[in-house]
Amino acid sequence: MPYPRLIRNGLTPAEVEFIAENETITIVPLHRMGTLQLINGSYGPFKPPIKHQVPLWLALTLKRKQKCLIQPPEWLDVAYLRTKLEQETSGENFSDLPFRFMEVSHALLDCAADDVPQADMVRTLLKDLREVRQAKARRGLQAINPRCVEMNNLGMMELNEIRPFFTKAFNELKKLRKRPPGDSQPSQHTNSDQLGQSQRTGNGLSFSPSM
Amino acid sequence: MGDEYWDLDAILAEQQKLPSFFRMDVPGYGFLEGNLDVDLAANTRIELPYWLAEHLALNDYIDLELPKCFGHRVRNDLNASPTSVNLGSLCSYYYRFGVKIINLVVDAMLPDILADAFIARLPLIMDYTQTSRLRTDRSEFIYSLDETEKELYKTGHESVTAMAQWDQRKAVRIHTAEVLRRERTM
Repeated sequence: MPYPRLIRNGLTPAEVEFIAENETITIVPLHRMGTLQLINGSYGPFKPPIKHQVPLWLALTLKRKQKCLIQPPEWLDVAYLRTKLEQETSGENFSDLPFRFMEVSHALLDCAADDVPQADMVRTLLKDLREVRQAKARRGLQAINPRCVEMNNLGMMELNEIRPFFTKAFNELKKLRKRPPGDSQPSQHTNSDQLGQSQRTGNGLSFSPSM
Repeated sequence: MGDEYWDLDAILAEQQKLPSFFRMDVPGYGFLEGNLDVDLAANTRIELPYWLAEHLALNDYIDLELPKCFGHRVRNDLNASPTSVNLGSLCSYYYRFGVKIINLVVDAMLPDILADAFIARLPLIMDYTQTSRLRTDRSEFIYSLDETEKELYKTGHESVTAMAQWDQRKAVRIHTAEVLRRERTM
């Protein structure tokens, strides 16, 4: 209980981004470098124009030190995103973007915007996509029922954003829909045929749901 | 009980009053209706808190009556327009209290009415989490929420704020704690 609600309810966006930094990405080194021996593996040796697959966090670190160029993933591209946006606006379902598209694109656009062609356009498209998808998530909320919520293809970050709200709403709804264990065997009766009125029936045991 | 034992909200929800009637005279309990040194007559209408009424009712000492906030009028209102009913003023723990009543009393309609109202109000709550700022908001709807919904609203609002901060790269910076800032400005 002493933690803030935000931490109790799940991951913060920064934590989600941290997890996403383990995705691999292709870089083109700019300098000759030996093998990097790291805890989770060794990368390299890097020889300039040979491409390498490294985790995103390493790519970002190298990029900040001007030691590599990052090759953006093929979905971080104006044409691709435009088709996805069209799918998104025309269809009922969420379009199948990569699971961690928000985190990865956010990190890349933040620190390696010069490696992404037409970065501003990409940014706008991503923002549009996000708005359309948020509106869909909201519509999904109206169709909520105590058994399941169907929202496929949501990204990790989007899930993380709506998770606290949806799980809480879902739990409350489950409580409301839950029938008492002895539903067929009334455990207790109210004494009024007409609800909200203080008339007693003869023995107080007959209760008819008169509505 | 069970997982609700330490839950303050559950304790508060159990404080809500239920109109009830004793089936027998209770010697020396006249003070419940304000008369000292008198016996409490059978069939007197008194309001007992839920936690007391539940056990008395299960042991057949009292009869219960549905409280006003679950009565005809409110039901009709909830059916007609769930979003314009002021649940907060009816009973601050409307849903939690409702769940307890559903589990105690047999009522075929009440669970559905409550659940439908809850679902109908959800999207609007979510809209408010997206658009307005928590403290400056003066919307009537937000004031009509019950505690369960308020909790939901705060939860949703917090995650939206966290996302916005992340988007603008504020999350990684270290700020003054809000408590300290408030103290300094006062």
